[in-house]
Amino acid sequence: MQITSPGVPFVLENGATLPFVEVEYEVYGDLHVAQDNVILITHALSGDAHVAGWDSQTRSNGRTWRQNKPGWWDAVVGPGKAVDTNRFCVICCNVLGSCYGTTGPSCINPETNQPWGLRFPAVTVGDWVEMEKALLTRLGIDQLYAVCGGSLGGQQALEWALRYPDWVGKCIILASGPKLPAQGLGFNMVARHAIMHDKDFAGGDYYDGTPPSRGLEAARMLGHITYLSGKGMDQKFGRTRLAKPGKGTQFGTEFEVESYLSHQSKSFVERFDANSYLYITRAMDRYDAAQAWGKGDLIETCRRIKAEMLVVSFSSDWLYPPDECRDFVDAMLKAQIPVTYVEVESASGHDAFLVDTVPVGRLLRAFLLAPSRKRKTA
Amino acid sequence: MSDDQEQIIVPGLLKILQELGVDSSSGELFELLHRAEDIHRKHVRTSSELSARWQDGVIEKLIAQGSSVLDIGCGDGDLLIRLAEERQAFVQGVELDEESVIRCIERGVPIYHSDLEKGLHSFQNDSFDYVILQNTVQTLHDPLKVLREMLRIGKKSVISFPNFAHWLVRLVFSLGGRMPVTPSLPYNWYDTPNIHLCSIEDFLDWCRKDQVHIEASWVLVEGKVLEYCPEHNLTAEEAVFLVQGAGGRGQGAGCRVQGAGGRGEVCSGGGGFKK
Repeated sequence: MQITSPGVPFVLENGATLPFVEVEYEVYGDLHVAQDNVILITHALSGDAHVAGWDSQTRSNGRTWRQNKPGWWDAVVGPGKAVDTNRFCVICCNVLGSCYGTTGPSCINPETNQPWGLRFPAVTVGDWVEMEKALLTRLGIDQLYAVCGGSLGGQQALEWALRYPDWVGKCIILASGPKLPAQGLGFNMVARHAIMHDKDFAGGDYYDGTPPSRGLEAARMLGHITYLSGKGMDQKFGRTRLAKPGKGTQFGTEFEVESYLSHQSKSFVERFDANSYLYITRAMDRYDAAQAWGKGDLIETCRRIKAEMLVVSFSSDWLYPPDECRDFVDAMLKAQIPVTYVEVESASGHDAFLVDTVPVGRLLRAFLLAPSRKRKTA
Repeated sequence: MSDDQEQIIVPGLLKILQELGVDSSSGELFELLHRAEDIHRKHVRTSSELSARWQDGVIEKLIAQGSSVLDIGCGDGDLLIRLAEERQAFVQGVELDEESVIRCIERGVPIYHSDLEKGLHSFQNDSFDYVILQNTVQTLHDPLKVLREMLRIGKKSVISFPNFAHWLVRLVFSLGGRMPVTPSLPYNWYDTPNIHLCSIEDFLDWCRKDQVHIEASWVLVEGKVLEYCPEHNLTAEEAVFLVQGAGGRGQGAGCRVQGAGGRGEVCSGGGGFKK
């Protein structure tokens, strides 16, 4: 859906404007007449609007990788599942700057008729929330029963609770928080470095030639390691060697973990745009809720929240480790905001919010179906 | 109790009693032991269902309408739900057990999944009207640390615990020679979570020492809820105290009982805490 009108551009947080913004979104389940059952699910870095089910249009939309697997949170979202689409109307939008149907750097700039490339303006988590709100408004929705996301999606969920506190009934933040710690900033920088130093990068104008696939592969391999945990990798691969190691020099793939990362990165470059990777990781880096809403004071920031809050951390997550999540929860408690916080024991690392679907589903179901309780207003 | 045990326990006990100048025949002592045994069995059978519920009733009456309440070690959130519904309280729980955490979430109780011996620094000074620690203090590794945290966080605190000086506990241990298993202490020595048990008077000693002000106190004596008086250190199975830290009130250290709000019977000869 287009969320801009002729002559009314989409204004970004940094003041830049986009004359035309198309948002790809998916809806699951029926909207109640009272509109009181909408759950907005916000996706993470490499996600899309296709949260659950099988895509029947892969031939026409060219997204052939979807022929092999259902939506990215299919185990959790669907009829009778933890986020029950028999009961709730689930909406998921692809974020601005991405490459799955929503306007991003790979789209054509209508003013130049060329792909945007790096001329695409910088986007922020706040811009994504504004984009989602514009879409919901066009759909005639003005309240959210819940907003729910993990990682980058958790940043959006939090930003919703801060920016539009009266919209959000329940807010679920998984493996995420008000800022990305320094280690995550470092990882993202290395990933971008790999992309931007690929000889095919061409300053981001690679759409007519060869895309910077090797850079994006390296970025994805690094990213993938950060989404797992040391223990999880030991359990999954150990030091198992391949039956048929790669040919050529002694530095070809030799261990299973190498083969896995190589395979993952190769399939990733077929479905992701390198420029989108740059824009989205930058938005993730820059997100700082305390800076935006409390002049750096997280407790002050949290006082804005009116939603019922669920924060979930995972014991082996490096990107948003439990201590980081606990700091956020502590700030809410200090601001006298009631909060539910759970630390899930897991070896799945940051990815746990996507792959540990049993404990995550149980928490989501319990929280979504729970009766609302009154809370103190300062 | 077998004849052998009677042989061993009673002559030895008789000797001790005689040395203490207590005149008692072995027949009377047998009778007393059998009576204790019967009561003990009956109590263990009826088990602990009564205990938590009588406390919830007492605590509910304590809490003013619309108060904020933090229950540390809140279990499935029963008390918090009761306070939210009956007192329109604004509630927050802390609980470590994962199944209990899920139950709390399902029931809409905001719950902080944390070890309460580690997690209380998250809470601001005086940020809750009441902090509650129900039947848990005796399970803590560092009970004083947690009690002091409660006094810091809550304008008032409610602490309840089983009374280790209850006559049945004394009897089972001193005459039976066994670790006491009673309705309020329903565990064996090897599986008990209770590592810092105390009597009511032990607790009051600490209150005096730390200048903790007792605002009100209740005990469960043979199924009845009474205001505490020192005689109850022998007869009370459990106790509930409403307290306030030294920092939380303007004047006067030391312990005294304030009006207990007319609930329960005042025991004859009752009065302030001595010392």
